[in-house]
Amino acid sequence: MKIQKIIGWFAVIISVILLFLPRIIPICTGRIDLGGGNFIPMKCHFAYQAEFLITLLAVIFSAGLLVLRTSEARLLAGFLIFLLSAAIVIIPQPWALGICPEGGCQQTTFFEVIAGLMLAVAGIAQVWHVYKARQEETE
Amino acid sequence: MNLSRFLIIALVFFIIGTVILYTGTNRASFRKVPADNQHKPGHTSQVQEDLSVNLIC
Repeated sequence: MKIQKIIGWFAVIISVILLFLPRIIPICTGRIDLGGGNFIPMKCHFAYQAEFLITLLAVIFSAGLLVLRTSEARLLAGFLIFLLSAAIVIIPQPWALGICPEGGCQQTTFFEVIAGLMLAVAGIAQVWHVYKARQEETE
Repeated sequence: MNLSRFLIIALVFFIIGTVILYTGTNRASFRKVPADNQHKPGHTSQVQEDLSVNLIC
């Protein structure tokens, strides 16, 4: 199997794991009482709703690595996967959307960050592989 | 698989994902609020009296 396919399948598997992670390791389900019978979800809820949408895009781009033929398209897909994985790691940070300090959110975020970094490595590996192949072609 | 078929599948996948996000299937359901915290006309719960913003986690 070509290294291209290995990177593609690795990125797809990590993205799908990221997609289902809040179901496997749930975040806290508490809500904030604003008074008067009004309750809003905590910030970890909004952080992981955003994570879900970004991970959807990561799954699509990762699958694109298996479909795209030209080196430019693969280069762009790998770079976008890297950027999306950076967003996945950044969103739960306290200076971005953040998560609540208690509950299962910390545990979920720990695995989310690890998987996000693995996805970033896949994106970088893809970019490096295509870039190297393009340089060899020109020489 | 050609590119046009992939784009259609990707679009369908994204729409299904958005519907899942809307329905809340992607996350655990919210914890039920205790009955004494429910708003009743003419009544205010003890929690609401003590704190304007109360964290239920």
